[in-house]
Amino acid sequence: MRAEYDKKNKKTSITMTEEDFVVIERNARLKGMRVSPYMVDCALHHDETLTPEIRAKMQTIMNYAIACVRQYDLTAAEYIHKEAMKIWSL
Amino acid sequence: MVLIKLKKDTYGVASDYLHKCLEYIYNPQKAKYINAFGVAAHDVDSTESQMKYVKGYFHRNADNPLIHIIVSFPKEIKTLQTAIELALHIAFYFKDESQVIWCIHYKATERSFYHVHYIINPVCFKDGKLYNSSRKNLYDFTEYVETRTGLKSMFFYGSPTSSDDL
Repeated sequence: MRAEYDKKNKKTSITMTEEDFVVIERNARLKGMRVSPYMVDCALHHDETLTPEIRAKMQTIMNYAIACVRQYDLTAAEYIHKEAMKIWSL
Repeated sequence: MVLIKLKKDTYGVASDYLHKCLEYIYNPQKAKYINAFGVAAHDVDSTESQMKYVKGYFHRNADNPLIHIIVSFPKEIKTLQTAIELALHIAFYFKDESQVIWCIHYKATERSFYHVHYIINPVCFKDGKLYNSSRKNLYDFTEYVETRTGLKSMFFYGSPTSSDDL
């Protein structure tokens, strides 16, 4: 069951052209999302440069880099970790 | 035979179960090896904050805090290096959609030396959908484990308080 702050209980209606709807629907489908959550996602996170998917994938690359470097230089590995943490606050 | 146990953790948002599970993963007395996909494998706070970021992004803070899967290798797997390689192959199953961190424990039992704990963020980082731990999906995962390890595998559900012994 969802907590109050996670509940999606607000509804609104919007107008758009048929052409815009086709594009939005296609983009939503490409992201594996339905139109409504896709539009909310775009509107809420339009100023975020990185999606969670990109952040996660960058972190995986960083993990690999840290594992490689750690064998030779612990300080450098720590430095990469600190820099990688910034991915999540960009 | 590889045994796969899914622990049903449904403590909800009020619990610090994710934090406790990650503390267990990072316990230096137990963990022989730690790695992760999509999330830091450095310390509890880094991993927890990054998992919470994905949950918060998709407004999924109140759902299951984590998915906990334990994979126990048979005694044929004698070395840590082999366990590390197999654990990595198995983790690839989650790599493209979920944050997953895993650690390898050594515990000599009648049937096993090494087992792996996988802690998975149930919220998919691509679209925010929740991981479905249905019998069908676990069966698919088990088939994947069989293919990647070349070892017969089976799964079962465990309670949150059940031990690591499989």
